[in-house]
Amino acid sequence: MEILITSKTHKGKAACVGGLVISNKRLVRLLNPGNWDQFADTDFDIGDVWDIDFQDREDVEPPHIEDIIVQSKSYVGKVENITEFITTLGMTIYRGSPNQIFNGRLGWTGNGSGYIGNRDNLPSNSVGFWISDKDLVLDSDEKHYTYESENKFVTSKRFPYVGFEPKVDRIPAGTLMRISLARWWKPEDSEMNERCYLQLSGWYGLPEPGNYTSDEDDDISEYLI
Amino acid sequence: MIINIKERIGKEIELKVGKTSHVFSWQEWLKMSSDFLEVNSKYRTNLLSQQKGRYYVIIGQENYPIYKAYNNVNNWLSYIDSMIRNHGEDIWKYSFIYVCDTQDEKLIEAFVKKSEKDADLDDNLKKYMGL
Repeated sequence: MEILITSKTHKGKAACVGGLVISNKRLVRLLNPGNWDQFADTDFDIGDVWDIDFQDREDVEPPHIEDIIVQSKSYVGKVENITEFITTLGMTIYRGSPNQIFNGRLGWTGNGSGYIGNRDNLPSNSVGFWISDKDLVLDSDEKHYTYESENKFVTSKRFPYVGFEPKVDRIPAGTLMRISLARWWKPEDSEMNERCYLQLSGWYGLPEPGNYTSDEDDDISEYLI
Repeated sequence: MIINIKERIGKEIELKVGKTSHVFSWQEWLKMSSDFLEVNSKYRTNLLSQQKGRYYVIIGQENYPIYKAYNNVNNWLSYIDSMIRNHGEDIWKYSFIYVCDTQDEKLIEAFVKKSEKDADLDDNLKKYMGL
């Protein structure tokens, strides 16, 4: 089946590769036999379309139901405008504030990390697409993007960025992004229940840093000798 | 980015009405207020929050003479969370919150402890995600 590669994220030293089965809109995570993630230098790239034979992973734990085991693959081509492709395909896209992601099921820690903690109210899967109503700005730690709250008593939401693509300083409102939930986890020796924490896998349609010319640059050039 | 809640607790209150500004100590303000309300029981998040008369939470708006004081609230952050979860962030248009505990420092200690716990979780989460 033809699969569009929609994400490539860091997972330890490996790469977690996400995709979309074009014929039935199923969101998948591409594992190798033995349930291993892809190597970091995998030839799966975002925007690629591959014809892949696969089997469903048997021992999935919701909401991470996307895992498939790649049996064979052959390169088909590339989708240049992923935003348009995903939109035209009619994929579910969460729109608005972070509270809209996974239809409001997320809880937020005091430091603004999103999570799913209630096993009785899980989303139907662990990945999704989101278009924010406000810009997301790269934190000073250069590891998170922040959705600033206008209300000073509401914690700003922070999204850890785990994608392979180079970071940008700002993700403008209206940009299509892919978000995902990390596997169930809790800190060692903690009495907390396990949670799936929200992460930002990537975005589509933004120029890479340094690969664009702004209007300001044009204006300044008039004064250069 | 950790909110230093400690700095917001127990300080004097500035009420702005139009272009006029009035500053009161929270004790004075408490005596003046005639709009005391109980928090609805469905927003009370734990048993401590129902200890009558122990906690006072004062909220208000800078630009309007609207202010309210609630008592019997301990887990204020969870209370806010419940309100916003049920009604959306737009419901929360207040510009200041002060929390007072009739037992000295206990509430401050609780908030500081929560801040530290959040910071620990954040550090562990970064390691888990390989950031």
